[in-house]
Amino acid sequence: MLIPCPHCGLRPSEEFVPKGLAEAPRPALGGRAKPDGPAWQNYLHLRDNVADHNHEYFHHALGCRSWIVVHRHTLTHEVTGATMAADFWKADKPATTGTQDAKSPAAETAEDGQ
Amino acid sequence: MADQYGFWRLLAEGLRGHTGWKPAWRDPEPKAEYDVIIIGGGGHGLATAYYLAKNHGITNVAVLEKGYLGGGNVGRNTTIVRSNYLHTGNVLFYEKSLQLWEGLSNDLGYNVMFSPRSIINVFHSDSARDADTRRGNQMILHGADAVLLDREGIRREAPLVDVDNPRFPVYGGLKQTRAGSARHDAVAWGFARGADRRGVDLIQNCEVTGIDVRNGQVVGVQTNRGPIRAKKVGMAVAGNTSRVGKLAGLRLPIESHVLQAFVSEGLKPMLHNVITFGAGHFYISQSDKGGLVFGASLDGYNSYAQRGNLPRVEHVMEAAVSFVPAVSKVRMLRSWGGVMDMSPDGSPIIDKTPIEGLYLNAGWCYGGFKATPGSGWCFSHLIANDSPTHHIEQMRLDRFETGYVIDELGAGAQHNLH
Ligand SMILES: Cc1cc2nc3c(=O)[nH]c(=O)nc-3n(C[C@H](O)[C@H](O)[C@H](O)COP(=O)(O)OP(=O)(O)OC[C@H]3O[C@@H](n4cnc5c(N)ncnc54)[C@H](O)[C@@H]3O)c2cc1C
Ligand SMILES: [Zn+2]
Repeated sequence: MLIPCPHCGLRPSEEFVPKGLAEAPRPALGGRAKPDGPAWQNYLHLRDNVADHNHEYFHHALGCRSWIVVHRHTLTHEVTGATMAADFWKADKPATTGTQDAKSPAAETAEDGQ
Repeated sequence: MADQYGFWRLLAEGLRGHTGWKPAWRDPEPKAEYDVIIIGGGGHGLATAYYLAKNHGITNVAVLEKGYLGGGNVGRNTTIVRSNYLHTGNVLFYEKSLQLWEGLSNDLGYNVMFSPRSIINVFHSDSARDADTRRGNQMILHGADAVLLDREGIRREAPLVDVDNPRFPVYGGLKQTRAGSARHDAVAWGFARGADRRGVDLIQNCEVTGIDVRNGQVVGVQTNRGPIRAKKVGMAVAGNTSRVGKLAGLRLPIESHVLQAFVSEGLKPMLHNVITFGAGHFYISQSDKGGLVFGASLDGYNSYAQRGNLPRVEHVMEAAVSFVPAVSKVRMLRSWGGVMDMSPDGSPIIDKTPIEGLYLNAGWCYGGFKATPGSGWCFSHLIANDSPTHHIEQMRLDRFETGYVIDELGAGAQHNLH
């Protein structure tokens, strides 16, 4: 399995540490305000966990050490792109990096966020 | 009838050329309505149906299985059975399950080949010894058994372990004598046969495609073989929990991940217990056929494919050879994967759901085989009485929200770390 790190390009999956599904943004800490329980429950624990295209956090631990969000299919393991995690939840995020095959439509279509 | 496979029957069949055997269970058409529907014909679904009939007298029950009985994780695991857990919420439950294993073949009239050959968790540092001592004491307090072994104990009990490994020297191990392994298929088949004989309909090739809810109460399910009504529906679908839960509009605390297992060529007896490597996640035992059966941790990425990737294969082989160097001379036969229902604290959920009449049995991570009889026992009680037995009081669905988690490893809320 090869992962297209937006910073380093296509790298073998052994260089990465997966963290799980990126389905909800991390809630704001909110200073001294009472934490938003349901938002944290949603972020930390609850998942749609689809058997389909999805988004997962990976850490490029043996590479540039960036946190990225990889677009993968959980039935075929096909990787269709990746985004820097810092950009993933932004409304105007930059385009997804595709896989090696420049003609692959996947890179463009990797539907972003939720 | 309980002696269908007993000595006299075997002798009689032997004399008449084995012409009298009948299928071990019926293949019924689904009825329009049942008292209870169980979704999933794995170990847990079948055990639940069996104990619903046996313990609670509820026999108008259907088990709906989308494939064939025992084709899921119950037929894909490394069959380790133990109750060496640390937290009360787990050890109470797994000890109940282990006690059921001890009488299971007799109870089912079917040899599940439970073999209490002991498990030894090997440790490699002073701090790991302290942690395992604490675990052993905790087990004893909850009625399980535990013995602390020193280095020489490991040399004696498992001579193939590389005790003097310079990188990971062995300090000793925590042994549970009553733990062991069992024959996975026989467990599924034994429960299936027992449930069928008590009147439960086991319906294969029947995929649940919808869960009907009216005014917050379950009224039935949709399947590829038509709608079936029931006021009580139990989900026991392991790796597919999120997908089936979604049919009822539930968003559950589960991620699906792949776990691989491996078996070697058949060998003469070389390992008589189950042993686990404390410097990496790795466990190994020898099957009755002689193959070494072993596994390690998840591949790590989310997956519904029942297969893993080569980097994990390499990692497992490295752990095998560091722990038991003799394995380097052994040829591997096959490897496979199963889809695990990973919970955020690594412990299972057996609870009601916010929907009346819909019950959840999930979050087994890689430990659900040993749980099979206990899970069926407790889940059937929950479904029959709408209240948990004391073994599963902490295995609540809302524990992640309330913070009363059962985090056996202390790894935090990340599904793939458990
Ligand atoms: C490689 C591997 C090694 C393991 N090793 C161990 C071990 O050593 N010790 C241990 O205790 N545990 C182990 N486990 C874990 C254990 O196997 C599982 O936790 C346990 O089997 C799960 O419960 P089950 O038997 O009911 O699941 P399954 O057998 O997976 O049953 C679930 C069933 O639900 C069915 N289903 C799904 N969706 C639907 C639907 N929509 N409609 C109808 N049916 C549906 C599936 O087809 C499946 O048959 C291991 C697992 C794996 C994969
Ligand atoms: Zn990188």
